[in-house]
Amino acid sequence: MSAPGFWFLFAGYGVVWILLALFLMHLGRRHRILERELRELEARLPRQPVP
Amino acid sequence: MSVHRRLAPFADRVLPWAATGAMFAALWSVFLYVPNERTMGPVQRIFYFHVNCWWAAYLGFFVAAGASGWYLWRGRSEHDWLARAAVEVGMLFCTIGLVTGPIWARPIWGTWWTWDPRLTMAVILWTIFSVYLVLRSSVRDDPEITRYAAVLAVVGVLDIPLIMISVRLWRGIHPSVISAPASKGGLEDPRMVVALLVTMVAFALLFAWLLWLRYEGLRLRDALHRVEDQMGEVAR
Repeated sequence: MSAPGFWFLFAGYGVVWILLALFLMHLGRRHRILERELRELEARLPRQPVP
Repeated sequence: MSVHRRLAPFADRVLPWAATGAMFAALWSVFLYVPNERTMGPVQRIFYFHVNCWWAAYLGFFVAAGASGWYLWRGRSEHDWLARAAVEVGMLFCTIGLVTGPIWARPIWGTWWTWDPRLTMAVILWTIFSVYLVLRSSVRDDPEITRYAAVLAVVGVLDIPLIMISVRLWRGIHPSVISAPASKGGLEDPRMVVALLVTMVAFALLFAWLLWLRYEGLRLRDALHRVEDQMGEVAR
């Protein structure tokens, strides 16, 4: 493999994985927000006696 | 049993592993199986991910347009969640396609970017669906904005056929490798076709998995907001 071609190839695939990782982090952040909202909702619910 | 319930066990348990396995197979085929292209050398290997990113983006935008059309007709939230999830995933692949293209172009064309018809139409597509995401960026969904965004998705997808035919219509410099014969710059080795197909399967599975994750997020968020609204009404 020639050096310049290798570096462009490395950059191309590097970008793919970085953008995919950023998207998965974005999904993870949305998921954490959802979990926090769920916990807040649970805290607002009146306590029911456990049967 | 709803379609969602029938899909859930497969999408939650099988899809992540299938997508990961297929992606490893794709990487193996691109880096270890396929031979170097004669004139472009190693940098041609970007092609396998670049092309499939664009196909995944087109798939996302077509799904979004179909679901948006369905939403405009029936007004059901499920179709809107699907459209929004498909645009977000489509934009991911569209962005990757737009970035990997110039990385391939620099050593081959000698420039990062040129306002070739296909490239210009691709930027327009990215801009249209960026506007869609900006419209949908508010925390709570406004029904009027949701309808505007749905119309934008239906109209915006019409750019894709223009991208497909732009190379022939306006004689751009972007290669059309798939439709060209091997003697005129197409895939010269059968292993290249195999690598392209393996990568296509990997991207289809990755697309389906990410779409499912985002759809589930939107569905749960909507359910949560409904419960919050009901609690607010009871409190009043």
